[in-house]
Amino acid sequence: MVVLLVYFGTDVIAAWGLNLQYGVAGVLNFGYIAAVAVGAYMYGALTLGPDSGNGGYQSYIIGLHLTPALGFLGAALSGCVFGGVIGLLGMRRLRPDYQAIVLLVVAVVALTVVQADTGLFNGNSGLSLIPNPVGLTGPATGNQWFYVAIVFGVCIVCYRVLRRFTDGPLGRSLRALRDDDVAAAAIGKNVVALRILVQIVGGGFGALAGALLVGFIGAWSPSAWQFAESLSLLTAIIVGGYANNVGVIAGALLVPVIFQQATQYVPGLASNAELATDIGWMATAVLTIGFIWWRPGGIISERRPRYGSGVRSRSRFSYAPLAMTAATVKEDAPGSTPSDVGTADEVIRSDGVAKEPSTLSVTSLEERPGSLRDEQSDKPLLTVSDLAINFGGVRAIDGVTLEVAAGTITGLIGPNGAGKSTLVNCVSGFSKPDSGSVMFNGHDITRAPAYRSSRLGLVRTFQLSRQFSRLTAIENLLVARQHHPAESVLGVVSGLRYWKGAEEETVIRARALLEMFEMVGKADELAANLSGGERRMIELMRALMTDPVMLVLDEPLAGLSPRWSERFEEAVRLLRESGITFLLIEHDLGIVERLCESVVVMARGRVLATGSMSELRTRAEVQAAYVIG
Amino acid sequence: MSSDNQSAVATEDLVCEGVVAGYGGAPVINGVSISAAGGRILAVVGPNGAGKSTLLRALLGLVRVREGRVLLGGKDITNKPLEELSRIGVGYVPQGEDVFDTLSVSENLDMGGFILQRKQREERVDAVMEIFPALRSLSRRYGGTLSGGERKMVAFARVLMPDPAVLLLDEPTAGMSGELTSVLLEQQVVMLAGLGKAVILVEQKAEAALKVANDAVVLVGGTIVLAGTGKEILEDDRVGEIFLGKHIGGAA
Amino acid sequence: MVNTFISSIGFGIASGSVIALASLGFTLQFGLSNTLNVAYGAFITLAAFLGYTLIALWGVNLWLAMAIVAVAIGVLSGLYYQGFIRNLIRRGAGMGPVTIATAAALIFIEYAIVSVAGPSVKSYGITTGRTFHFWDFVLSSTQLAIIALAVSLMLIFQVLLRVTQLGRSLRATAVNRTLARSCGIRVERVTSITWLISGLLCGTAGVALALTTQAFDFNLGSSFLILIIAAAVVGGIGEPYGAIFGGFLIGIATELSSAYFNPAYSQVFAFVLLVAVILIRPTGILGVKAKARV
Repeated sequence: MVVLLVYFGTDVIAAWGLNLQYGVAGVLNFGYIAAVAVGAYMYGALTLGPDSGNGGYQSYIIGLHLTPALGFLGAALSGCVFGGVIGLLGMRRLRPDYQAIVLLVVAVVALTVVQADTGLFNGNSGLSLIPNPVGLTGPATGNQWFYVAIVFGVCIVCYRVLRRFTDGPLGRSLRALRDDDVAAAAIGKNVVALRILVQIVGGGFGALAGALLVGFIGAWSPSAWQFAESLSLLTAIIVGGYANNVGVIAGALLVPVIFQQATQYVPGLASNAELATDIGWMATAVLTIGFIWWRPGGIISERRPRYGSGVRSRSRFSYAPLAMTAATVKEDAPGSTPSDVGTADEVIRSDGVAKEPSTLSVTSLEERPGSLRDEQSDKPLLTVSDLAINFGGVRAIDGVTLEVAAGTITGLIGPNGAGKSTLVNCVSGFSKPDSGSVMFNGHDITRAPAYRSSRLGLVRTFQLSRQFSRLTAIENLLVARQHHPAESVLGVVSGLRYWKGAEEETVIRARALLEMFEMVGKADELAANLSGGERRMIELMRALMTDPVMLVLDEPLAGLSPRWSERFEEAVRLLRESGITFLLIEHDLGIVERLCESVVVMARGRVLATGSMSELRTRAEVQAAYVIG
Repeated sequence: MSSDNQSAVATEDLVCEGVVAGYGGAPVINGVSISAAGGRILAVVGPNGAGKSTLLRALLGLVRVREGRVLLGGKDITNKPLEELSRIGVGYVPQGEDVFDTLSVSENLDMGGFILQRKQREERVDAVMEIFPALRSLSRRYGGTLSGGERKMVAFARVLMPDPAVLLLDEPTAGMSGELTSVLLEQQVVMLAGLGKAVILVEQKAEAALKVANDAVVLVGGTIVLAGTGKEILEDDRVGEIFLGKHIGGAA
Repeated sequence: MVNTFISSIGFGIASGSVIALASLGFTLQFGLSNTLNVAYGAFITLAAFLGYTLIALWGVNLWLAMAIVAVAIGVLSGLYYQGFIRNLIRRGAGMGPVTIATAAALIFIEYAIVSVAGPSVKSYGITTGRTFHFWDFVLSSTQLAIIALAVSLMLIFQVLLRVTQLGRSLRATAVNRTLARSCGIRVERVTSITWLISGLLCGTAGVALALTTQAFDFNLGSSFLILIIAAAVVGGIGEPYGAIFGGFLIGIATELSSAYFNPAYSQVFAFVLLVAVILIRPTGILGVKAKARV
């Protein structure tokens, strides 16, 4: 029984770590077992004495003979370091299956090296004679239970640490990255860094589990911990509940139980322990497949966080539904306190609706460094110089130069295949141009990764709208908030209290946007269940949530009903008045004419002409390139 | 819309009646009926998001038809898979990925004639080369290296290989200059119809398409709001309103 | 020294030819269905054990047994695709869950094998027969036969790809599925048949592998799986030529590293190569540059 409980506890810790990587952040790590092994070996290295007769191992490494507590800590840290190294190596923008391959390969390499190297790691015989933290030789039951208590104590600590990462805004960002890493980068998430983060944290958890295990068993052999073990952890996650910490506990409980129970029902196994193990593994495999087939969410599915509409404390901001007739815009002066905000400061009622529709005020928490509102300069906000990019021999963009002046709405039109979307990809960092440069607000973003341009205030939407399918509609908006205090080191360490205010504020903003576009009812609906038009609106709102300096919208009206097109048009005007610059790719030339002061025409990878819509209509080459009429 | 084919239904006729289709969720196509006859061009125009491409895909079995029927020469072909339709004379030129990029032009033509016997295929290649003489110099080039106009020519040649009775073209002039658009529509597409084929032409460039169309329908929000001959629609003032002044000239 | 170098190359060609064969089967599956089929390793193991049953237990002629096993694995692979993989994808399982499901299938098959056949190491017990001397290395007649077989199969496959209708339809389907359909190609059938062919290659490779490694256990497939994946990725995933090239490259690299460094680490070298290729040139040495993801 003691054995079962200890195994259960360590399984839970390991499964939590793997769940953080896979269930929450979407990184499939078949090599997770390597982290567990690292923990075991490190614990051995730290706690074994220099002369415990363990073959070459401890006398070579450290032979520190430290106390178990330090051993556990050291093991966890080594897991983090290991995770960090793996992360730096493999967490680039690779296809997910290649990532999985890299992770698996690293684990196999690590285990091969460990098995082969007798000098450092004592080869296949692994470790033995690890001192039991409860510090004695005999299996006196009282002391074994003490070990169980240690394990469960560590579990509780782990759970609290885990929640800092899986819940709250940071967890939300990780889940967003899992659902669509491209869209996540578009709202400023540093995808690579986040993935490295989960490798580090997950690695720490795995290593801790390994240390606890080896402390209990006293020995560790590499051959006992191969690929199949990683799979059993994945099974626990899939069966119990993907991305759900409590579900994972259920899974960790169920899997070994199934493993053992399965063998009860096969006759003639009582004597044959090996066969029992084999059948157990087969049963585990069947269980995994069964759940993937019929119930991929697991027993306890991913939680769908809800955000209450009541607001208890007044916050700095007030948002109200957009008035369809004349609306004025108020701007918050930098450094103002809540009482300074004027009539726009309506207290939001508990059902989320302001007392009267008044004004739309678009404000930001902190002025973005170098933001437009500080500096009124004549320089164009965005300058593209002689940009070019090739795709397999075809010049998709062939020397494009254009400028977008601050505070304007510029249209980008042209026939399909002209290179408009490719240009947007290059400007926003999703494709690296082969030559030329892109300057935005004084920064050279030519080679900058997508998330960096987004953070500098250049945010784009996608032609085929992207959303985070397993996040709710409102979460899709919340995740777009820039510089959320919860997503900083300080935020993780300090916990809820630190970022609660910011989160509430963000919720208010998000709800206001949802109201403006009449989608409050769908706030708690999973994005996957929304209609095409609704998803496009969510994407627009998400872009607006980032409080951008410049918005690049790629055919935003496609698939929208005329009613929503009108609201969108209105919103764009208002947002421009509050200082946001727009670059709008559209086929709907009517809207381009109404909204855009300046229009750029592209065709076949080049800029054909620039001017106002009415000017362009008269130019022969534009007409020829694109039937305007 | 009833075309001027009240008489005998020829094998080239592609007709759909009351088709409702979508991707799951609300239907994109809401009860559309069209009729395409051999030797004529039927243009399907409409603003973005109207469902033009979806209509084509519904006819081709790429999108599920929930209600209504699609008939080819009187036979029900609703929801038949694309590969089967291609074998009974329905040709499709998709928008965008319309040639095999990593195969040569002659291999592209070969693929087009996949269902033919070798000898037949060779004959068809000759025939197709007659129609598009410029192809001869391109045969060794890889699909991905061709210019826009060349690609379309190869795409048309490929689809002609099995000598289909019906051709469904999805925005063939996408990404092309005005000049090229005119050449493609006024010469090549007209020629296709001239070969006796029923051509269904989905186009974003309404004006250019209507100029060459025998018959036309205007699709908005998944339903047909106007139907008539190409000329009628082209001259209809209401069309400008429908497009909200966007695509049709003179709607200011 | 020259001797070691040449003999390593020689052995590398021998082992590389088998890896290439296996890898060709794997890359067909990955390239056409976009699935990382981890269970491929289990099929290799299954092939080896079926071969064992036929050859060592029932005394069937080696080559006949190989043919039988190849067909068996081929059929199994086709059914596996139709019944398992295709349905998973139709049910909306994403790449992660599908990969995990194939990993579970691997575990299931391998443990089923060990529960029936036992954990002890097996061997075909085939005497090596005549030996042939090439420059500085020695190959047995069996090894030579295997090289010859592997190379012939791969050549036959390439010819098939160019010349037969099936081959042409496979090429078209791999390049552009919808366009292939509009040429009248029955892409579902093509996919099933391709999985069957990859199973044939897998089965042959499994028996050949068992022959060359002399002694094997139920871990055979999974231990070679990564070499197979490495060969496919290094050469260019989805590209048949790439798999063949990659297979020989990996085979030779493994032999060279075990000749010059610690043999226990021979596989590590191959893996390092794999990771390097993924990081530097993900489309592989012979692969085609892909367009942007967005």
